[in-house]
Amino acid sequence: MTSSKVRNKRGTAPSAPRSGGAEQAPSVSERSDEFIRRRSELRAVIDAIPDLISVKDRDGVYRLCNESFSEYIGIKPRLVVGKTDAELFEEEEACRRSEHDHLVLDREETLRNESWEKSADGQRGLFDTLEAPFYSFEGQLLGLIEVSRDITERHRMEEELRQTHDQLNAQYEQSKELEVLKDSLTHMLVHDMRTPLTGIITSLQLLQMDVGALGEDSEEDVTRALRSATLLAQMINGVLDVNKMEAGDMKLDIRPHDLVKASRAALDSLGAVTNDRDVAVEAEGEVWTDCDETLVTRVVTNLVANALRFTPADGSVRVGVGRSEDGSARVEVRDTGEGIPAEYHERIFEKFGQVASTKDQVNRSTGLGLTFCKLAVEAHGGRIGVTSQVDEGSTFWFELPAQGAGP
Amino acid sequence: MNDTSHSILVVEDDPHQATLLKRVCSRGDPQAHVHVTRSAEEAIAYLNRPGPDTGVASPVPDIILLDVLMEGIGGLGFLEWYSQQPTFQHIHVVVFTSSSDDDLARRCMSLGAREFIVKSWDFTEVLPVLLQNLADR
Repeated sequence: MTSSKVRNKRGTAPSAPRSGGAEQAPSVSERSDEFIRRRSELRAVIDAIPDLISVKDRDGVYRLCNESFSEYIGIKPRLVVGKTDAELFEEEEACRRSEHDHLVLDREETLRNESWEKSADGQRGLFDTLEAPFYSFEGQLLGLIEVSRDITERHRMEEELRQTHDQLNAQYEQSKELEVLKDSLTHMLVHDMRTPLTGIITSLQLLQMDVGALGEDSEEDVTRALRSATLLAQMINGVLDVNKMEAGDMKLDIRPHDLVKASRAALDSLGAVTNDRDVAVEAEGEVWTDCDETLVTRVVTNLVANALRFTPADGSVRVGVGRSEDGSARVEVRDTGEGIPAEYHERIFEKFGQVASTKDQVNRSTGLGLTFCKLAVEAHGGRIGVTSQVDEGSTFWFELPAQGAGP
Repeated sequence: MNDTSHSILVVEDDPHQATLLKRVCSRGDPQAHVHVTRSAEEAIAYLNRPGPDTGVASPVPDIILLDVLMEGIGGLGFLEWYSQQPTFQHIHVVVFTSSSDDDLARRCMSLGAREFIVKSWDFTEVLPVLLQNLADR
């Protein structure tokens, strides 16, 4: 084989340096040395390539192969050259190869395929094989070149990756199913608690109306029972609300409202909880925005109740109402409480994610208050978050997008 | 039973809730006669019973406390029937339901209900409305 320059179908070969006749032409022996040197260089290059490379003429006779190819089929290169597939391989394999050759040579197209092959030492491997026609300088079809790359390792890794992916997917699906099951179980339980709890609360109310019929101690007992039952009812309402909002069943009644007024209403609704506590709304003028007033009032109520729970009796809670730079209505509930470590700032908005459950009677909550706030704010297309320094206090804030606000 | 005492009909399919409502009504007006039916159909039969208002056993009610979500024709079915009864229009119908659906409320009001109250944990919350409607009669 005098030239192994592969020439693509369309292109022309790189122009060979023309040797001008008048100039000093190299001698025949010089040219021959140069030729041999170049040829062995080329040989070294293709032998260094780990891919299996072989070249066949139009009759399917091997004209060239590299070390990798001959090693793989277990036949020395000089024994390969001059042979056909029929002479080198078993019949089935030879047939397959010759079919491929015909496809490439007849259509003069590059053929690419992946196939499992077996090496001379019995190793099976997956190969990505390219077979392309090659041409003479004059554009005449000379034969085909075949380059095979061992992709067994890559394939194995892809397989592993796919399996891991499938496993993860299956686990994810399973955990989603469990989550749904858990939610519907909670919902069912909570729902079934409504009837008996309504009985307890209504009966206690009726009992309490019986002014004078009970002794002073018994009246206190009834009041205490009523307070506990009401707390329980609030917890159950919290679970139901969060469930409802997660299912997207909460209908919003969006109208323009003044958030300063809503925040004051929130403080009022807390009633006795705020007695003897330093808690106030801070705002300049009115801050109108489109929102569901009931929901937003409950968000502020939750945030303030939360702040009071984690702030010592001599600390303060401020509800700042204003606008952020982009015009969104912004409410901040700032406390001088114990603060929240940074690692909890995301988690506290998740279900039952409140930092630590306190045994303190006063600090009891459903663990759903902040989840409710997050869902309610997000239902408005708003954002909610917290900034906090341990021992210095926390600021829970939320922003509702500015819409056609105004009285 | 004297002539000035009121009569209330409670239409509620849940026996526990019916008992609670009966107690709440009695608390609001200890002299009131409170009758409970467990379905809208039963309520219609009660109102249509022969020889009503004999003044002794069971007078025609002043107020009907009506649940909506019940087996059969339900509260809406009852209201549809009620809206066709000129002789019973003096009865105030107070809807008391666990549904807070606005459309349902509008439906009920358009069929002649006087009030639409959403049930909370505390059924005594219905008392002020009940007393107000008794006073208006």
